[in-house]
Amino acid sequence: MSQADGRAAGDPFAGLPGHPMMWILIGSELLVFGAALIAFSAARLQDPAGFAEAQNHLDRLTGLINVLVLVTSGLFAALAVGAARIGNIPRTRLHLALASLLGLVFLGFKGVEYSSDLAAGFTIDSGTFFTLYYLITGFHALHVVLGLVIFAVVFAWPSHFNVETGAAFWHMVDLVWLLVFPVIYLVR
Amino acid sequence: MDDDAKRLLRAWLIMAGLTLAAIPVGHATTMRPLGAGLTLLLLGLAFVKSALLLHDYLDLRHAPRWNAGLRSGILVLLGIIVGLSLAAGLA
Repeated sequence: MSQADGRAAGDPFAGLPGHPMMWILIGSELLVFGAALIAFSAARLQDPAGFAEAQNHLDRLTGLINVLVLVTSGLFAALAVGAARIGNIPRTRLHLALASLLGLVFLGFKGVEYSSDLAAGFTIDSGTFFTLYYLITGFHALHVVLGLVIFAVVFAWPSHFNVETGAAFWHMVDLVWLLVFPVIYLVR
Repeated sequence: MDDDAKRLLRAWLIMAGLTLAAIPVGHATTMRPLGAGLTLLLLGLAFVKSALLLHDYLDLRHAPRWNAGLRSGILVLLGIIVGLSLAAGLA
Protein backbone atom coordinates (compact mmCIF):
# COMPACT_ATOMS: atom_id res chain seq x y z
CA MET A 1 0.00 0.00 0.00
CA SER A 2 1.39 3.37 -0.91
CA GLN A 3 1.44 6.63 0.97
CA ALA A 4 -0.95 7.87 -1.69
CA ASP A 5 -3.73 5.66 -0.35
CA GLY A 6 -4.72 8.41 2.03
CA ARG A 7 -5.63 10.70 -0.87
CA ALA A 8 -9.21 11.73 -1.47
CA ALA A 9 -11.43 9.74 -3.83
CA GLY A 10 -11.18 11.16 -7.33
CA ASP A 11 -7.62 12.37 -6.77
CA PRO A 12 -5.86 11.65 -10.08
CA PHE A 13 -2.72 10.66 -8.16
CA ALA A 14 -4.55 8.12 -5.95
CA GLY A 15 -2.62 4.85 -5.68
CA LEU A 16 0.65 6.29 -6.97
CA PRO A 17 3.67 5.77 -4.73
CA GLY A 18 5.58 8.83 -3.52
CA HIS A 19 5.15 12.55 -4.08
CA PRO A 20 2.79 13.62 -6.92
CA MET A 21 5.39 16.10 -8.20
CA MET A 22 7.77 13.20 -8.77
CA TRP A 23 5.16 11.67 -11.07
CA ILE A 24 4.90 14.88 -13.06
CA LEU A 25 8.69 14.76 -13.41
CA ILE A 26 8.60 11.06 -14.36
CA GLY A 27 5.94 11.72 -17.01
CA SER A 28 7.89 14.59 -18.55
CA GLU A 29 11.16 12.62 -18.52
CA LEU A 30 9.52 9.64 -20.23
CA LEU A 31 8.19 11.99 -22.92
CA VAL A 32 11.65 13.49 -23.46
CA PHE A 33 13.39 10.11 -23.73
CA GLY A 34 10.55 8.76 -25.89
CA ALA A 35 10.95 11.70 -28.29
CA ALA A 36 14.71 11.15 -28.34
CA LEU A 37 14.33 7.46 -29.23
CA ILE A 38 11.84 8.32 -31.98
CA ALA A 39 14.29 10.95 -33.31
CA PHE A 40 17.07 8.32 -33.22
CA SER A 41 14.93 5.81 -35.14
CA ALA A 42 13.86 8.48 -37.65
CA ALA A 43 17.50 9.48 -38.21
CA ARG A 44 18.31 5.82 -38.91
CA LEU A 45 15.87 6.02 -41.83
CA GLN A 46 18.18 8.53 -43.52
CA ASP A 47 21.26 6.30 -43.28
CA PRO A 48 20.48 2.72 -42.22
CA ALA A 49 23.80 1.32 -43.46
CA GLY A 50 25.82 4.04 -41.70
CA PHE A 51 23.91 3.51 -38.45
CA ALA A 52 24.43 -0.27 -38.62
CA GLU A 53 28.15 0.18 -39.27
CA ALA A 54 28.52 2.70 -36.41
CA GLN A 55 26.47 0.51 -34.06
CA ASN A 56 28.85 -2.41 -34.63
CA HIS A 57 31.53 -0.40 -32.78
CA LEU A 58 29.44 -0.30 -29.59
CA ASP A 59 30.08 -2.81 -26.83
CA ARG A 60 26.71 -4.59 -26.85
CA LEU A 61 27.53 -6.97 -24.00
CA THR A 62 28.51 -4.11 -21.68
CA GLY A 63 25.23 -2.39 -22.51
CA LEU A 64 23.38 -5.62 -21.73
CA ILE A 65 25.27 -6.16 -18.47
CA ASN A 66 24.22 -2.64 -17.52
CA VAL A 67 20.57 -3.65 -18.05
CA LEU A 68 21.10 -6.45 -15.52
CA VAL A 69 22.87 -4.05 -13.16
CA LEU A 70 20.01 -1.53 -13.22
CA VAL A 71 17.29 -4.18 -13.02
CA THR A 72 19.03 -5.61 -9.93
CA SER A 73 19.48 -2.12 -8.49
CA GLY A 74 15.74 -1.56 -9.03
CA LEU A 75 15.04 -4.75 -7.06
CA PHE A 76 16.93 -3.36 -4.06
CA ALA A 77 15.16 0.01 -4.41
CA ALA A 78 11.79 -1.79 -4.34
CA LEU A 79 12.90 -3.88 -1.34
CA ALA A 80 13.89 -0.63 0.42
CA VAL A 81 10.31 0.62 -0.01
CA GLY A 82 9.01 -2.59 1.59
CA ALA A 83 11.42 -2.26 4.52
CA ALA A 84 10.50 1.41 5.00
CA ARG A 85 6.81 0.47 4.99
CA ILE A 86 7.26 -1.65 8.14
CA GLY A 87 9.63 0.89 9.69
CA ASN A 88 12.76 -1.25 9.45
CA ILE A 89 15.24 1.60 9.04
CA PRO A 90 18.49 -0.46 9.08
CA ARG A 91 17.16 -2.75 6.33
CA THR A 92 15.85 0.25 4.37
CA ARG A 93 19.28 1.84 4.47
CA LEU A 94 20.99 -1.45 3.54
CA HIS A 95 18.79 -1.85 0.45
CA LEU A 96 19.26 1.80 -0.51
CA ALA A 97 23.02 1.40 -0.18
CA LEU A 98 23.00 -1.72 -2.39
CA ALA A 99 20.81 0.03 -4.99
CA SER A 100 23.19 3.01 -4.98
CA LEU A 101 26.27 0.78 -5.21
CA LEU A 102 24.84 -0.84 -8.34
CA GLY A 103 24.09 2.64 -9.72
CA LEU A 104 27.80 3.41 -9.32
CA VAL A 105 28.64 0.11 -11.05
CA PHE A 106 26.40 1.19 -13.95
CA LEU A 107 28.25 4.50 -14.21
CA GLY A 108 31.58 2.66 -14.01
CA PHE A 109 30.68 0.41 -16.94
CA LYS A 110 29.38 3.41 -18.89
CA GLY A 111 32.61 5.29 -18.20
CA VAL A 112 34.71 2.34 -19.43
CA GLU A 113 32.52 2.13 -22.52
CA TYR A 114 32.86 5.87 -23.26
CA SER A 115 36.64 5.66 -22.76
CA SER A 116 36.84 2.77 -25.20
CA ASP A 117 34.66 4.59 -27.77
CA LEU A 118 36.71 7.78 -27.49
CA ALA A 119 40.03 5.88 -27.65
CA ALA A 120 38.80 4.30 -30.90
CA GLY A 121 38.19 7.80 -32.27
CA PHE A 122 34.40 7.86 -31.95
CA THR A 123 33.46 11.26 -30.53
CA ILE A 124 30.20 13.20 -30.41
CA ASP A 125 31.20 14.65 -33.83
CA SER A 126 31.62 11.23 -35.49
CA GLY A 127 28.36 11.33 -37.42
CA THR A 128 24.67 11.40 -36.52
CA PHE A 129 24.69 7.97 -34.84
CA PHE A 130 27.40 8.88 -32.34
CA THR A 131 25.98 12.37 -31.74
CA LEU A 132 22.63 10.85 -30.73
CA TYR A 133 24.30 7.96 -28.90
CA TYR A 134 26.33 10.29 -26.67
CA LEU A 135 23.41 12.69 -26.14
CA ILE A 136 20.83 10.04 -25.20
CA THR A 137 23.08 7.79 -23.11
CA GLY A 138 24.86 10.79 -21.55
CA PHE A 139 21.54 12.39 -20.59
CA HIS A 140 20.47 9.06 -19.10
CA ALA A 141 23.75 8.78 -17.15
CA LEU A 142 23.08 12.26 -15.71
CA HIS A 143 19.73 10.94 -14.47
CA VAL A 144 21.54 8.04 -12.80
CA VAL A 145 23.75 10.59 -11.02
CA LEU A 146 20.67 12.57 -9.95
CA GLY A 147 19.07 9.34 -8.72
CA LEU A 148 22.14 8.64 -6.59
CA VAL A 149 21.93 12.14 -5.09
CA ILE A 150 18.22 11.56 -4.30
CA PHE A 151 19.09 8.21 -2.68
CA ALA A 152 21.75 9.93 -0.55
CA VAL A 153 19.12 12.38 0.72
CA VAL A 154 16.59 9.57 1.30
CA PHE A 155 19.28 7.55 3.12
CA ALA A 156 19.57 10.39 5.63
CA TRP A 157 15.77 10.78 6.03
CA PRO A 158 14.36 7.30 5.27
CA SER A 159 10.64 7.84 5.87
CA HIS A 160 8.32 5.57 3.86
CA PHE A 161 7.13 8.54 1.79
CA ASN A 162 10.68 9.69 1.00
CA VAL A 163 11.84 6.18 0.07
CA GLU A 164 8.80 5.68 -2.21
CA THR A 165 9.47 9.01 -3.92
CA GLY A 166 13.17 8.31 -4.43
CA ALA A 167 12.55 4.75 -5.62
CA ALA A 168 9.93 5.98 -8.12
CA PHE A 169 12.56 8.21 -9.75
CA TRP A 170 15.08 5.34 -9.77
CA HIS A 171 12.60 2.98 -11.44
CA MET A 172 11.99 5.62 -14.13
CA VAL A 173 15.76 5.70 -14.81
CA ASP A 174 15.73 1.88 -14.94
CA LEU A 175 12.72 1.87 -17.30
CA VAL A 176 14.39 4.31 -19.69
CA TRP A 177 17.49 2.08 -19.97
CA LEU A 178 15.25 -0.94 -20.71
CA LEU A 179 14.10 1.00 -23.80
CA VAL A 180 17.35 2.78 -24.74
CA PHE A 181 19.45 -0.39 -24.77
CA PRO A 182 17.62 -2.39 -27.48
CA VAL A 183 16.89 0.64 -29.66
CA ILE A 184 20.43 2.05 -29.71
CA TYR A 185 22.58 -1.07 -29.25
CA LEU A 186 20.68 -3.88 -30.95
CA VAL A 187 18.02 -2.86 -33.49
CA ARG A 188 19.59 -2.79 -36.97
CA MET B 1 10.81 -13.78 3.08
CA ASP B 2 7.40 -12.02 2.88
CA ASP B 3 5.00 -12.18 -0.07
CA ASP B 4 6.05 -8.76 -1.42
CA ALA B 5 9.72 -9.74 -1.44
CA LYS B 6 8.86 -13.02 -3.20
CA ARG B 7 6.86 -11.11 -5.82
CA LEU B 8 9.73 -8.69 -6.41
CA LEU B 9 12.26 -11.51 -6.65
CA ARG B 10 10.04 -13.32 -9.18
CA ALA B 11 9.77 -10.11 -11.26
CA TRP B 12 13.57 -9.68 -11.10
CA LEU B 13 14.15 -13.28 -12.23
CA ILE B 14 11.83 -12.85 -15.21
CA MET B 15 13.38 -9.49 -16.18
CA ALA B 16 16.90 -10.90 -15.88
CA GLY B 17 15.93 -13.93 -17.99
CA LEU B 18 14.34 -11.74 -20.67
CA THR B 19 17.47 -9.54 -20.67
CA LEU B 20 19.67 -12.59 -21.26
CA ALA B 21 17.29 -13.70 -24.01
CA ALA B 22 18.23 -10.50 -25.84
CA ILE B 23 21.70 -11.98 -26.49
CA PRO B 24 20.49 -14.52 -29.08
CA VAL B 25 17.40 -12.55 -30.15
CA GLY B 26 19.36 -9.31 -30.71
CA HIS B 27 22.46 -11.07 -32.13
CA ALA B 28 24.40 -9.30 -29.40
CA THR B 29 27.61 -11.19 -30.09
CA THR B 30 27.60 -10.91 -33.89
CA MET B 31 27.14 -8.20 -36.50
CA ARG B 32 24.33 -9.97 -38.32
CA PRO B 33 21.26 -7.85 -39.12
CA LEU B 34 18.08 -8.69 -37.20
CA GLY B 35 15.30 -8.64 -39.74
CA ALA B 36 11.65 -7.84 -39.06
CA GLY B 37 10.79 -10.88 -36.90
CA LEU B 38 13.69 -10.53 -34.47
CA THR B 39 13.23 -6.75 -34.26
CA LEU B 40 9.62 -7.30 -33.23
CA LEU B 41 10.60 -10.00 -30.75
CA LEU B 42 13.41 -7.90 -29.26
CA LEU B 43 11.19 -4.87 -28.69
CA GLY B 44 8.46 -7.20 -27.43
CA LEU B 45 10.89 -8.40 -24.75
CA ALA B 46 11.57 -4.77 -23.83
CA PHE B 47 7.83 -4.15 -23.52
CA VAL B 48 7.27 -7.15 -21.23
CA LYS B 49 10.17 -6.03 -19.00
CA SER B 50 8.77 -2.48 -18.89
CA ALA B 51 5.31 -3.77 -17.95
CA LEU B 52 6.80 -5.89 -15.14
CA LEU B 53 8.75 -2.91 -13.84
CA LEU B 54 5.62 -0.76 -13.78
CA HIS B 55 3.49 -3.45 -12.14
CA ASP B 56 5.91 -4.85 -9.57
CA TYR B 57 8.84 -2.49 -8.97
CA LEU B 58 6.75 0.70 -9.17
CA ASP B 59 3.82 -1.12 -7.57
CA LEU B 60 1.32 0.41 -10.00
CA ARG B 61 -1.00 -2.55 -9.45
CA HIS B 62 -2.53 -0.22 -6.84
CA ALA B 63 -3.05 2.46 -9.54
CA PRO B 64 -4.50 0.45 -12.43
CA ARG B 65 -5.36 3.45 -14.61
CA TRP B 66 -1.83 4.84 -14.37
CA ASN B 67 -0.44 1.36 -14.96
CA ALA B 68 -2.54 0.90 -18.10
CA GLY B 69 -1.84 4.45 -19.31
CA LEU B 70 1.93 4.17 -18.96
CA ARG B 71 1.94 0.67 -20.46
CA SER B 72 -0.08 1.95 -23.42
CA GLY B 73 2.28 4.89 -23.87
CA ILE B 74 5.28 2.56 -23.98
CA LEU B 75 3.46 0.28 -26.43
CA VAL B 76 2.76 3.24 -28.73
CA LEU B 77 6.40 4.38 -28.47
CA LEU B 78 7.71 0.90 -29.29
CA GLY B 79 5.19 0.61 -32.13
CA ILE B 80 6.51 3.82 -33.69
CA ILE B 81 10.10 2.60 -33.26
CA VAL B 82 9.25 -0.78 -34.82
CA GLY B 83 7.63 1.01 -37.77
CA LEU B 84 10.61 3.31 -38.29
CA SER B 85 13.09 0.45 -37.86
CA LEU B 86 11.32 -1.78 -40.36
CA ALA B 87 11.10 1.15 -42.80
CA ALA B 88 14.87 1.66 -42.39
CA GLY B 89 15.39 -2.03 -43.14
CA LEU B 90 13.42 -1.63 -46.35
CA ALA B 91 15.17 1.61 -47.39
